[in-house]
Amino acid sequence: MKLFDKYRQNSANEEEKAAMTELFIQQKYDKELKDKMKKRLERDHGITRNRSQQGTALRRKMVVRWVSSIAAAVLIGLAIWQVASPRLNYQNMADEMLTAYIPSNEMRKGAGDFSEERGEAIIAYNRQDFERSAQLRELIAKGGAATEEDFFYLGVSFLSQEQVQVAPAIEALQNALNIPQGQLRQEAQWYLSLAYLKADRIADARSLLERIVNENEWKASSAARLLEVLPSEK
Amino acid sequence: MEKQTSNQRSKTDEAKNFGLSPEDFQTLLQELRAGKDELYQQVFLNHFGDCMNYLKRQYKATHEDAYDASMDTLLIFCDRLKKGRIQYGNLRFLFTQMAGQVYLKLKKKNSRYASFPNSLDLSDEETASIPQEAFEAFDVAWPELGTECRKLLKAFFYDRVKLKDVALQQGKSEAALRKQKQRCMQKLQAIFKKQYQA
Repeated sequence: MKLFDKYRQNSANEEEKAAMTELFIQQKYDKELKDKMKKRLERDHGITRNRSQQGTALRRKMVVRWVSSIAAAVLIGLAIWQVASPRLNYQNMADEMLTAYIPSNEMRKGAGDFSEERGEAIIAYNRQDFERSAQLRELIAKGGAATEEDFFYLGVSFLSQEQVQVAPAIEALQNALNIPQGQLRQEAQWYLSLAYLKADRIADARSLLERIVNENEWKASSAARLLEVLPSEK
Repeated sequence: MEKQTSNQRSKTDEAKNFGLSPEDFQTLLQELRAGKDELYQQVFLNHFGDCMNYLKRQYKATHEDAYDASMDTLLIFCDRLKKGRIQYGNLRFLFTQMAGQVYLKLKKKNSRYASFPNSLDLSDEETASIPQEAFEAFDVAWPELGTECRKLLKAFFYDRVKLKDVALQQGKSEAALRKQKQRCMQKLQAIFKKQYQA
């Protein structure tokens, strides 16, 4: 029997399973690298697979260079503007910290609190469909069956959407923190402090960030960096 | 005088190695194993045209075949670098020789996809027996796997990082990570099966 048939029929041993996993992953990432290199070859070297496109590619390269120069000038202007606006520094940092890392939400086999809705919410979250994930978690919350995990990922989903929804994120994360002996307390605290910053609630954010630093909790060094740039009077 | 000769020698060495010094080469390996391919692209794509010209001149390859063979060689070369199977010395020679072999293999099989000389221990026949729909199903299944699992499997199977090194980075034991890897593969297989049957 072919290896692939064994894999899809669940009769492959560990070694065979590893070989198939490796093959799929390699094909996927090789294809991505190949696509990147093709684009770069055309853009930077004027080389394409189809010879007739080469002249066009070179002309396009000249246009791209002009457009890139203009774009670079605009970006430099924007960067100067950013530096000249210290008021927004903490918000920019909060945005960067929010997008730099999105906590993973794994399905836990055998968990007593597992439901179809929750499963769908996890899948949506892992696909980075944060709108859908938030909708489903809200349904669970409205049904009165929400756990700390539901509130936490609801909060993170609100914060990770294209149009960030700060107020509901704060409410969800506060709910997560209100659950006694929570497993995600440190994470919820960190995201709540970022949500406060997004809402410009500096005093609330400061108090949480100081607690994170003082107790050397998760993200303590990032919290310290944020504290350094917070304005004192707000 | 001695210093001048030594400088000339290192210049010649760098020319044989796509302009890379031994230190640059180590940096390149580290970056590749960290999942970063920017430097690799920057260095090797500069020589893509030379490689195509070599294949056209040496093997009378058509433009399209020379392009495909050079591109496939870039992928295989990258994988072998990550696996530590290529040493600093004369990378340019090695690369063009490999490109020649890839070209001949492509011509022999007369099918680009089927003849892709994968770096696994699977035969070409095994690889060719996998339907295209399976790769498409995998593309859909992959993002459904949790982020941690994706990171671990990519680091191990694509970036070729040893499990003990990943364990060290994450502050976990190698045994725990091996179990995690097995669970992740299991999970991926289940999601894949669902997608493939759908």
